Amino acid sequence: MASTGAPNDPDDFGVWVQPFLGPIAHLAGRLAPCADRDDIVQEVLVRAWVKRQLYDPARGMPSTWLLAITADLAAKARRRVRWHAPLPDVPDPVTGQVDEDIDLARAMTRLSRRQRLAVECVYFAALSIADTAAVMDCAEGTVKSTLADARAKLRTLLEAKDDC
Amino acid sequence: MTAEIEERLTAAGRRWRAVQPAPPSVDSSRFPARTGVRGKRRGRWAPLAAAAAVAVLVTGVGVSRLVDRAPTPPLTDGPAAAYDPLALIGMWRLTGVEGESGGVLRLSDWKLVLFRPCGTLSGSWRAATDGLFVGSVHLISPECARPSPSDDWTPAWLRDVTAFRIDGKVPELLDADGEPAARLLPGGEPAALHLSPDETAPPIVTDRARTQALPAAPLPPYLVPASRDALVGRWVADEQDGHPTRPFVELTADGRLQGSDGCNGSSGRWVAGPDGALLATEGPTTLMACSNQHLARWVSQARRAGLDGEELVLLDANAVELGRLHRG
Repeated sequence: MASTGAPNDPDDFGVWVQPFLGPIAHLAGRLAPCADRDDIVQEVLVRAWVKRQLYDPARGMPSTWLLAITADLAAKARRRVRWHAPLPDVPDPVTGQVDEDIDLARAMTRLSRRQRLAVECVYFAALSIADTAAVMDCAEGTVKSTLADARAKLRTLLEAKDDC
Repeated sequence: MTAEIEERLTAAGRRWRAVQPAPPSVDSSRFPARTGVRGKRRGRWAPLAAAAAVAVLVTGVGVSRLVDRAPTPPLTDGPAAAYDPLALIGMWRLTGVEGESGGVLRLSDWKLVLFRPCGTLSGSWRAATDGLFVGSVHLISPECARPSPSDDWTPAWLRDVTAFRIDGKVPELLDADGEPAARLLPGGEPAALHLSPDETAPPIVTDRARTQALPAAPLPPYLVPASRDALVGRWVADEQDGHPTRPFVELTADGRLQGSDGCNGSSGRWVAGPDGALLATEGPTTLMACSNQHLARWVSQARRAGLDGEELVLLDANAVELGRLHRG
């Protein structure tokens, strides 16, 4: 509890988290597509406020900390939603107009959970490798190798689809 | 082809982000000055909080006291000093305890040693300004009879103790019905055992003890106080990839606490009181390298426990969250 890197004033805290709202919202939208994205964002901000004394700037950037909280709460939101409605086979937030995006989204459902998480974080939520490592709770090198495996598997899946 | 996949992913991600609505704006009014209040849920609990406030005003009894049996008299029954945990630190002669004739209890800064004619029982204890008390024994010297390893080594009379009060200068340890389970008389001297003077000297009140004896902050309004019954059961943290055994902590109805971080087991005892008050001890544990969360330690460090829906939220003395657990 000794080091406090996050502001203690509510207004200052709001300013402090503002730059990270976009990445938080994108990650929440990708990891819990059936849940209310904005609800998750609000939960993240309140959780971060409550636990602000735990943020240690020596251990990482604010984005790293906030996105790890986002991943945790998005996982909980996904579990809550799962009780009420099954997850769609094809993620809904695909842009829709582009056929190849649909193929890609279908292929992504065949990835392992970790591979898909890495792809969602890096390509869709546009997180850095460092932030993705925080979300996945692993080393940056692991993220890179997971991404490489994911791309190789996607290539195989999409090639097989093209051959049909 | 891999480069092509990368391009497709990048382009798909760009297109997806382009159609996403703007993120919500930050509403700093949802961040109260001391601890966080879940903005969306504040309204949800506001009627309950208001009802509780009315109940307190009209009847003088908090709502939580109605649903959570208080093991100790409320603070308003006597001066605050009657529940000063620091006043328990000392060397005491145990009286009123069957089978502990000649027993001496040394309570130092949260370490407990019970001197018996045969040897010593060592463990830990905690007490709080709301009158809660919990103690447990984790080590018994070889000269004394030991229960089987799977049993609770805490003596039965100490297992019954859930509260304390100080009547004049005489502390009493109370059971769940508020009846004295033991009286502590000053001036205890341990039998001549082969112990160092440090282990038998009267303990002193340390700064660490003073800090830990401060009253706990109240439960944040977005949490429902966890009653004793609600706490009983097995609790787990979120899934942790890569760990074969999921960490857990189990709080049993008879006051035992058992847990594992997936590699190291630990045990202790726990008591709960009104308004989400929680006190627990934790015994020694093995030190196998393990990156898992040590849930039993969360419980032993917690001073308040609240429920956020199905989640159990543990908070320290400053009402800062230590962790969240689910039933598992």
